[in-house]
Amino acid sequence: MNLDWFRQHLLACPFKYITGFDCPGCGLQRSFLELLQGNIKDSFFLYPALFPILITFIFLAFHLKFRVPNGSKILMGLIIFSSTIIVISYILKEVQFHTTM
Amino acid sequence: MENQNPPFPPNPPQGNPYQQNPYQQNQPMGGNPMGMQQDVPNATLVLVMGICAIVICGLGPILGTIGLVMSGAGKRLYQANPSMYKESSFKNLNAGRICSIIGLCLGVLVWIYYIVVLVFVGAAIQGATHYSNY
Repeated sequence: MNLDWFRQHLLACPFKYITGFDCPGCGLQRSFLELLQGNIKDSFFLYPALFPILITFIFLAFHLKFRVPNGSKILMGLIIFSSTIIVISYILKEVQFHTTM
Repeated sequence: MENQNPPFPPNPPQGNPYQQNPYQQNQPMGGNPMGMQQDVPNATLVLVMGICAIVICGLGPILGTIGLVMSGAGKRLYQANPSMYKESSFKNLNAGRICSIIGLCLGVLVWIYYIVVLVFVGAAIQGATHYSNY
């Protein structure tokens, strides 16, 4: 798979372009690229919420196709879990960034 | 009594026995013109919208609002005639609705944060040529 094409065509974050601050979604594409290359550790440290998000989408497709019993409740739990991880990891990343600068 | 009438279509669906509602004859509004239950309209779309509202950063309020509006229409339709729709589909709709609300709240917070940063810290325009800008 030619990952160089992806690496040159990532979507830039307008918020980071203007202010220089990360937004809560920054790092998702880099993290996904690292995951495609097999670097699970780098991928996790770039964007820890990638795994819950991927699991949520895979489960969503599975649930819509096969109608898992109580699937909607499981999906809701997964969504709340991943949004919590997004918020916590973003706060930790910003705190770490501003204390080390 | 209306409830003891035979099911509305003379030949009930033979294909999938799981789609028949066993409580259909006990419900006051048993008049189910289709004979089998269908999905609540837009339930799948609302669920996908709710999830994308949380995941896609910055678009949460937009997608969340669309999901909420669509789920409101679907919920009204379901409550007008609950025996006509599948219950699992209605649960999907509710889950999507809650996800939309969460995504909407988080997205509004993120937008407020954006504005705060833009007003107090912004104006330092940097190039997007570096790899870490993506």
